[in-house]
Amino acid sequence: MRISTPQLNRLALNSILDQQARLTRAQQEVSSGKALVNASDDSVAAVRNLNLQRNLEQLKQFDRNGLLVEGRLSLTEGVVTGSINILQRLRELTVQANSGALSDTERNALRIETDQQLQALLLRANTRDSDGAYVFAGKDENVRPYDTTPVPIDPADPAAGNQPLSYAYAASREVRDIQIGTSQFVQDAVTGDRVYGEGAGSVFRLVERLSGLLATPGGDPQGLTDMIGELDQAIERMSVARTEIGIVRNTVVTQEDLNGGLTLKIEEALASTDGVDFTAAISRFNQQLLGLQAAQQTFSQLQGLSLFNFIR
Amino acid sequence: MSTLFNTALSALNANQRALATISNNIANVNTEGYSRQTVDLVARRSNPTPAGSLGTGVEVAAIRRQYDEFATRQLRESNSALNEQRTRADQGQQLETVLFDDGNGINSALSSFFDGLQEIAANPASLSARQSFLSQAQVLTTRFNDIQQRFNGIQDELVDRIDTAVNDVNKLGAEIFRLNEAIGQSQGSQPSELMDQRDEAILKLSSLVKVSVSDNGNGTVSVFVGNGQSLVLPGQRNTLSANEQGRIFINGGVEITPSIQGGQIGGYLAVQGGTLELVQAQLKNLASVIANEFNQVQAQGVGLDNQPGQPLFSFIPADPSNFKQHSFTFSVSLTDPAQVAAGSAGGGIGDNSNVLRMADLEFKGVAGPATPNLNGKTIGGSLRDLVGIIANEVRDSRQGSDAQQALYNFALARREATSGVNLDEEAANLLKFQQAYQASAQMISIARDTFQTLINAFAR
Repeated sequence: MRISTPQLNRLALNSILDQQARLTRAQQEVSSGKALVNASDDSVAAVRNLNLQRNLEQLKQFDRNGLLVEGRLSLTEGVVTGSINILQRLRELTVQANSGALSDTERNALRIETDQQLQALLLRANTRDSDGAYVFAGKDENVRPYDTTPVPIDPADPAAGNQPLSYAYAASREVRDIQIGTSQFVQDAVTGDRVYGEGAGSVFRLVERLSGLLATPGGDPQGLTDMIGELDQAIERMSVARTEIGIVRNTVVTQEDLNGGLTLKIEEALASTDGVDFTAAISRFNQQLLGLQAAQQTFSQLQGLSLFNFIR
Repeated sequence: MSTLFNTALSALNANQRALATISNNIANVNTEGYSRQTVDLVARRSNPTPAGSLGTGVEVAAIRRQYDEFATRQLRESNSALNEQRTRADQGQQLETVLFDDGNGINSALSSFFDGLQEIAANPASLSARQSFLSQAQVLTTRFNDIQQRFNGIQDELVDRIDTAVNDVNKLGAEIFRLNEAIGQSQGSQPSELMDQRDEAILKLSSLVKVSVSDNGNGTVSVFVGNGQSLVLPGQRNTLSANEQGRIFINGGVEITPSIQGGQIGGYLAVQGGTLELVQAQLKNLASVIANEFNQVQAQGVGLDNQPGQPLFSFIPADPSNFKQHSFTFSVSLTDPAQVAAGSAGGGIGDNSNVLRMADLEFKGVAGPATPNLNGKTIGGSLRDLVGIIANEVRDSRQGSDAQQALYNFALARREATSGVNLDEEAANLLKFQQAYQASAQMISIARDTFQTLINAFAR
């Protein structure tokens, strides 16, 4: 095809402009570190990266939830362990009292300790966490599980004493679910009725009865023997609750690892499509630089060629 | 004798014209749209003699404008297509950038919003978790409104550009009309430079809109834009105008927007009625869906005061007869963090069952005819999917633009092959005709000497 002079210039100039555009693009990649500047560069990767980004943030949130659950459960487990220790102490105490060799005075000393341990047990059942929520209250976390408010038998006569406590469980029997993984929910608490029982069947009433037995002059061997069995049952109930808590704690740890593994995979996937391979990008930049220089040099050489230079 | 003179004179004349034509070509080498001119030399009629026919010299039969009608038409077509695709790609890119954000945009606001729900779920009784969530809801609605503003701004810009381009169409129409008159009135041979100028004006017009040209046979042409809308006719010229919505009218009367296609105006109209319309509608629908769904779940649960939840969001669409029909007002109407309905009735202040339902909304499908492009996409993910839809359109336009650029370059090369001036070629021709001129000048000198000899022969 015949080429006119303006066309020659245009072709050479287009070459330079084209190289400039490529060079700028390569420079952008190197300086930003991003391979995907516009979504239209790779629409599939763009959407996928946006989705992956959301997944990453979600996983972080689940980890935060997991930490929270772990904190609560570890507190709960500690309190249950402390309660078990109290019951085991009371068991020792009961065995001792049943040994037959104690005087009424000595048995009384044990009774005094028993009463103190009852208060300790109640305190533990009504434990509050750092936010003021009752640990064993389930969803009614602002409701004290076991009411210990003294109610006078005769309001007009304080000397008449107080009514016995009912040890009714006043809070919720439901526990909430917390999401710690994409398809993993765990319960972050255990309700008081499952650890301490309620009403006449509660561990508190049990300890009160023990106190009564110890107050009986001469002791009550049959009663005390029965008491040991009942204490064992109460300890068993608490241990079961503690095991369940332990299982949930394990689930949280396992999920944490799973989340960690997933996070790593996502970060790698993001880096591979969104992040630029610097070695390749820099060598591309240098290549384009050479290309531009070549285009510019050939342009100026072309400009020098004209038949008019040779006519006189 | 006189034949000798006349022949030599004719040669001088012809070569002089040839040199003048070459000079004109050289002078116009960089003139946009100039078609080079060549000289057609033809031998003059010979005189018959008994010995044979005696030639009488040379004359210029024509100064020919080197012009390829077909190449010019192809150039116009690819120019229109190129401009349309490029415009669609550039304007589409603006829309894509609004949604494909970088951690400070709407996608990150949505993410924080849903994370905020999880914070409440883990801590339903905590006022600070609830307050934090309300703040994130505020940020979300602000981002929605920001994006809406940006889309509206792009829409305004498109209308402005359409208006400017339509004005340019009219200016070019006026110029073509003027050139038509001038060319039509010229006596004798066609005025080449006027025809070049007219072609150049039509080419510029083709950047703005698709054009078709028909020759009226008398030197004038009729020019039609888009799908056959007449712009310039013999003795008559039509004017286009654009209103504040970017709709186009002819002579201030009939609306012709659907038939304006191709070129930059075609590109602006395509984006305005296509991609922009799409993203504005989807944004509005998503805001509406979010408001509805969350308010419904709010109503199902109770706040810390055990009262049913009040609406969380307020969504008010603009009047559909409004030009900016996809405008809306989206805001957070709940101010008291205690009223976020995290729990269900009777569940206790630590109940998170209702806020978990809200968190689930992230994965609920957006349904219905109101959101055709987002149908089946999730509330949390639909904007991300929309990015993909727009990105595909932009990529198609870019690829179309690249393809058209190649076609345009080829058409241009074709036109230049016929009409473009090559300085080396002109230099060579210059030498050729200069040599011929010198030879014919020498001829005159010899003719004079011959005559002189004859005179001297008769002198005493």
